[in-house]
Amino acid sequence: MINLLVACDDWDVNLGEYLGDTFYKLCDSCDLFNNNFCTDLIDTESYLKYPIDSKINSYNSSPFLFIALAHGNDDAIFIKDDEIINEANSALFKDSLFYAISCYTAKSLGDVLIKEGCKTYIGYNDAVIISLLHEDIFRDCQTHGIERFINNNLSSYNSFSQMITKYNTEIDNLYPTDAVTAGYLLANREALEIKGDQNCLLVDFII
Amino acid sequence: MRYSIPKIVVIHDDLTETDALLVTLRAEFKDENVVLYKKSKDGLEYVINNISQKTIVILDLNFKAGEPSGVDVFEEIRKRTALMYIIIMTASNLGDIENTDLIKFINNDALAFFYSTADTKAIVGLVKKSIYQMEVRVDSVIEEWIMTKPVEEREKPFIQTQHGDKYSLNDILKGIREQSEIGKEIEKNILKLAIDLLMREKESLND
Repeated sequence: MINLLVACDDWDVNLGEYLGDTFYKLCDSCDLFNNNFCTDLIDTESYLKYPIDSKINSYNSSPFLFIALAHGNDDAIFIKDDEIINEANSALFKDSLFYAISCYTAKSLGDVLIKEGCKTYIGYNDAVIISLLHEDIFRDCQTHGIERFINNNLSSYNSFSQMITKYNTEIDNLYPTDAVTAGYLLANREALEIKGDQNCLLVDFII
Repeated sequence: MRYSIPKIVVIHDDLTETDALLVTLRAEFKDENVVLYKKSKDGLEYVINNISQKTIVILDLNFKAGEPSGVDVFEEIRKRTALMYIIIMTASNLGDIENTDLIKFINNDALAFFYSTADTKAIVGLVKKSIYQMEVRVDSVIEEWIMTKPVEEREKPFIQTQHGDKYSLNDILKGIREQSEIGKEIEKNILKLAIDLLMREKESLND
């Protein structure tokens, strides 16, 4: 059994629908509600009722996977403009794999998490732009790393590499007809970072 | 010439259709691509109403009282687009031009100055230089690509930032012309894309 926690700001006024659809896509592609996973969702409706800190504390210091489908800045992840993850509760992510599609968190929060014992962090160090004409392509690229990690038993580093490869494939498909969108895919790819343990595997999170 | 010929708009109150400059320009670039406006107001109106057309403006500095001056015309064009090439034609010595006007020309990318008495071959050379630069400038290429899209497609939201700012292709076009942040960002992305494709050997320099 693997504990998996997803924070999803699905009611965000700008990107709520996109983030919600990303969660559903991950549920399908990674079969997150099968017997191998104990999956919890903290969404916009529930984040105050079920604070993230108490949810993580219920894992009793066991390793877990965390996926952030929410806005971010250098230091924090947000739901509904409230910081739900920042330096103050970063120690809760000890022994986790932290995967964020949020903007900017690789600039500072990623380092803080690793310093506090997070196993591996994958996220972005700049703004992440979404193409409204090619949402699926951008979503597929953003989720590719965690999908490979969960479905293909790849190491954290190899999953990250597969994400880069996925971005390159989509850039190459797109640029002959739409170099502007391909340019934004490249910008998103260039913002990707991996920190911490590059060799961890999904089995490391079995409790 | 391999490249497409833009419109050459001569705005000059002392020239006539039979003047050497007009005859030479028409011989070199074809009749239909060269227009003369003797009134600066009419020339400015034509340019503004055809802002999406690739245009090189040959602009006199001094006009009769009651007509916008060359500086005024230059500024009005530059308010709307950085992508039009403007060649300033003057009978005055450079030293006789107001410093403030010179600063406006220099800081807002006037392509060149030439004296009214200059050899017409030299002027043709300047126009050819402008045409070449239009073909290789990233912002001009992006503008041209956007203009190939149907009007209704250009009005649809195209990209979205994390803050919820949505930009259509028309917004991007405006940004390119006005050299706003979004315009500059897209130019940078395209240049980085070109380098990335070369580095990954998806394209080569002799293609």
